Amino acid sequence: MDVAIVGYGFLGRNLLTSVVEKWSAIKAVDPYFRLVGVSNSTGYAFSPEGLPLHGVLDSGGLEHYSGFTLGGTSLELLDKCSPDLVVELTPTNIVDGEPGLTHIQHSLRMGSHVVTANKGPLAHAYWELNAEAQKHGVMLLYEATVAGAVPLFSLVRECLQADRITRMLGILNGTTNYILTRMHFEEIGFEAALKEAKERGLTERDPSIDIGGHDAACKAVILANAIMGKRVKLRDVKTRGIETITAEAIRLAKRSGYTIKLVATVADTVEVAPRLVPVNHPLCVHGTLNSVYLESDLAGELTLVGHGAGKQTVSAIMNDIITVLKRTSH
Amino acid sequence: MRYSLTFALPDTPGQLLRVLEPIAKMGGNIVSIIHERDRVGDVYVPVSVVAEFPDTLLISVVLDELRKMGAEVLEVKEVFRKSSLTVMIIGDASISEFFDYLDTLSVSRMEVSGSSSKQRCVKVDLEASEREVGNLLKRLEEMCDNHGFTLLKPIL
Ligand SMILES: NC(=O)c1ccc[n+]([C@@H]2O[C@H](COP(=O)([O-])OP(=O)(O)OC[C@H]3O[C@@H](n4cnc5c(N)ncnc54)[C@H](OP(=O)(O)O)[C@@H]3O)[C@@H](O)[C@H]2O)c1
Repeated sequence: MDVAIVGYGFLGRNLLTSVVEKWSAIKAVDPYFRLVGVSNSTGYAFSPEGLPLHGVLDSGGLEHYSGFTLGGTSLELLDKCSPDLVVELTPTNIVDGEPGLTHIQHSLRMGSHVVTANKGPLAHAYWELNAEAQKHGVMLLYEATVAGAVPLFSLVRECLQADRITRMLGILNGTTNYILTRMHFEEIGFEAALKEAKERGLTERDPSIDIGGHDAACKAVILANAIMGKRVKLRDVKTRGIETITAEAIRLAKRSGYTIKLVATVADTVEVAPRLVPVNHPLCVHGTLNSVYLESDLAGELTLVGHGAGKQTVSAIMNDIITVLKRTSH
Repeated sequence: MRYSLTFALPDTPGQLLRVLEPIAKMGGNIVSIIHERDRVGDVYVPVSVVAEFPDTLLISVVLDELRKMGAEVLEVKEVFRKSSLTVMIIGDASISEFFDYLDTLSVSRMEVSGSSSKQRCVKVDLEASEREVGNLLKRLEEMCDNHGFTLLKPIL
């Protein structure tokens, strides 16, 4: 299988490192696996025979790789290499899903399978993209878009095939969970905790995307559509952030066995808001951890906990890639 | 739906069974039976039966059936199961203007904090029947939206 990676930042680099580490396992599934193209915002590297993985990794930045085409666009790369699988890892844009949306649409229309960690395109056009994938007989997998390394979509797809999921609650944003955790345990104010999160590099360039609940809302939209079959857009989500949470409020909640968490709820309605969570509830996880609590008609309640971001996210991307390889290998 | 039905039953053996059977036949699940036997010598004994009926069943059908068999029903009351829930509201000093309003909402306990700072928060423990909970939260949410307060609902 010919694979192209669009977006070679934090996840792109960590993915390539894992591909090298897991090379023999990948080759065991698909002996023809090769990386034919990698792009970033300034250009791309392309080789129809397959790029040397160590060569790309050790180049010290894609633009320093000897075969780099400066000024080339990702769409140009895709047209040039017609990959069987595109891994889309460009930055999330919650306003219109671009440039990822165009990359994914273009890939699906070319008949390429797509694996992505980019929640923007799915939050904006979940059903449209799925229809496009179906039309062209290709797979669109997006495990890493919600709760990073936590295997959520594949769990529901593979292990809850007869279940009907009736309600989901999720702590889906690591940054706000870190802030609220610091406020809970250290009894510091919101501003001090936010400053700490910034210093630790946990916030986006625009922190309001996390703090205002918009990142969690994007993830709630994907969950609502993908797991509960709803037809929900971002504008349908009642979204509140954690800006108004005070140290005093957390203290008061704590005295009664609660803490305050930013919770995405997917039920009859879809909502993101700070909520009172009993400290002994399985959803109640601390630090940058994410958790998802599912209620279903057969299995009852299930809770999944894990890393919502960071290099562990590569696990979800790799699993999606291997799923594509396995399903197309016969 | 849970109902409490009070009967006046003749103080002879087998009378209770006579009313319990049709209740069970119509899908009623008996929760409790209270027998006021202390009034010795009375011909009729008041007995209250609390039963859970399927939501789809009309209580009038149950009563008709009981009447047909000659069981006198003295009183019928729907029993609302109460649930307690805790919410918190964060706002500015004007939040205290709403304490009277909150008091009308079956509040069992209220705790106010931060009275020294500009921001105040109040924790309210409410008691409401299960079917009222949704409405209650909606009203609180509207109030908070209108005044720019933050409502923290429990995850339930
Ligand atoms: N990081 C995580 O832990 C995590 C977890 C879950 C999901 N995600 C999602 O995964 C995606 C990638 O995350 P990341 O942390 O790897 O982001 P990142 O470090 O910012 O990398 C993004 C990459 O995309 C490239 N890019 C930007 N515009 C492009 C374009 N038009 N064509 C091709 N490449 C373009 C950037 O190029 P330059 O290098 O030239 O700037 C960069 O290489 C994001 O959507 C993110 O939300 C991330």
